[in-house]
Amino acid sequence: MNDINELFSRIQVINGLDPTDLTPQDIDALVVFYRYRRTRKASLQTTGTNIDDVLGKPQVKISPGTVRRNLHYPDTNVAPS
Amino acid sequence: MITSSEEPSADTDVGSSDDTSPLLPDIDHASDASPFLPGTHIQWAWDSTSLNLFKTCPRLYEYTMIRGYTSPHENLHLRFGIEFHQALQDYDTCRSQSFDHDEAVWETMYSLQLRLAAKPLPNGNEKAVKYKNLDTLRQLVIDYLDHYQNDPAKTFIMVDGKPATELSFRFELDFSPDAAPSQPYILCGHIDRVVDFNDALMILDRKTTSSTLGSYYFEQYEPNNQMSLYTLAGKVVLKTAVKGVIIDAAQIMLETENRFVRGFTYRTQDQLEEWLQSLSFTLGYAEACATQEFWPQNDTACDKFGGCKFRSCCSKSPQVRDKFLNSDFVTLPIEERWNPLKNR
Repeated sequence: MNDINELFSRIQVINGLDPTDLTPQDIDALVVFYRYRRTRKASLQTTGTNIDDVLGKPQVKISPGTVRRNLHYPDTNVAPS
Repeated sequence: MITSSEEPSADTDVGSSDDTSPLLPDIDHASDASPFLPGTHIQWAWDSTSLNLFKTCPRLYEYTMIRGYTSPHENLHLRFGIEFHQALQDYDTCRSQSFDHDEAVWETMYSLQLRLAAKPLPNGNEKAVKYKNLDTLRQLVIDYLDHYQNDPAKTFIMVDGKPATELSFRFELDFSPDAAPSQPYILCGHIDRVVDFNDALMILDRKTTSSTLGSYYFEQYEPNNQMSLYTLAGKVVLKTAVKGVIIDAAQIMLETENRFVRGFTYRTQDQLEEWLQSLSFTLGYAEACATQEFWPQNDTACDKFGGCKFRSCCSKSPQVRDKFLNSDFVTLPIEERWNPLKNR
């Protein structure tokens, strides 16, 4: 997955997921998307330059998927990749 | 009431006269005491929420605190703020457990996603939903955490080695209701975080808004009930000088980056003493209302804060008002009503 539009589509899918179906990669995608969108807004605001033209479209970095501790809820069925 | 010019401590007139820490021990929710004197509506345990209600309008206070009326629908603004606070609290917890920044952000987003999948944000009017929705909440949380990744305001570490975060407090005043001279008033509340900033201890309080973060926004905090109470509480709880409050304001932007601005509000010892003196009058008035079982309308406050939710009912004739209150609002059972004594 290496396109902002595909990433945005994935976010829409994540929005509809049952909590038990969330994967670590889904959370990674959320973090990447919102950081990318901030950077994009900043570049358009300050220079009028589209960040995609400068850096290329974002690559979604998929972590190895280590399941970290869940702070507040019982363990969900989120398996590491 | 502080009767000396010295900094307040646990041994002065403000604060408990015994050795009990004003920080709350873990208390089972089932054992939450009533903030009212038994058999009366005289409130003896107050916090900034209940004080704000009464100071705004005694009738608003009566409808909310005494009669338990609330809107039938969850308030989007309140929920958005609660979720934002919870997310930041989760991040602080992770960092205190030696998670690095990115790990803490990941955990925070994970917990946020779980909570909102289980219970989505409520609806609101068109403008409210435009600014406060799942997408803007996620963006605001990540932007805030990244913005303050290397925060110069460091969490204060208390003498017991614990970080000064999520501090629930209660402390006694040195005056009591006339109806119960042996029961001092107490002030309760919850401090998100105490920080060391530029060699000064400050309370850190986070706010979300869609308003522009200029001088006009921050002027609302001087004078301000909540900020005065927090500063006083900080001094009593930590037994050391707390200069005031850092208002960590987060402005939700749609087309451009979210904005984060810190404002500072200070309270001198004299200002705190004046606030306490004023408080004694306010609480005396509250007791008089409760004794008479009559809470007057403050008809100059109806248009404040976007308009009071009870305005349409208050504008009705007294003989028919209850009918409208009962149809437009729901009555919360006592255990679900706002209670300053309830542990958070």
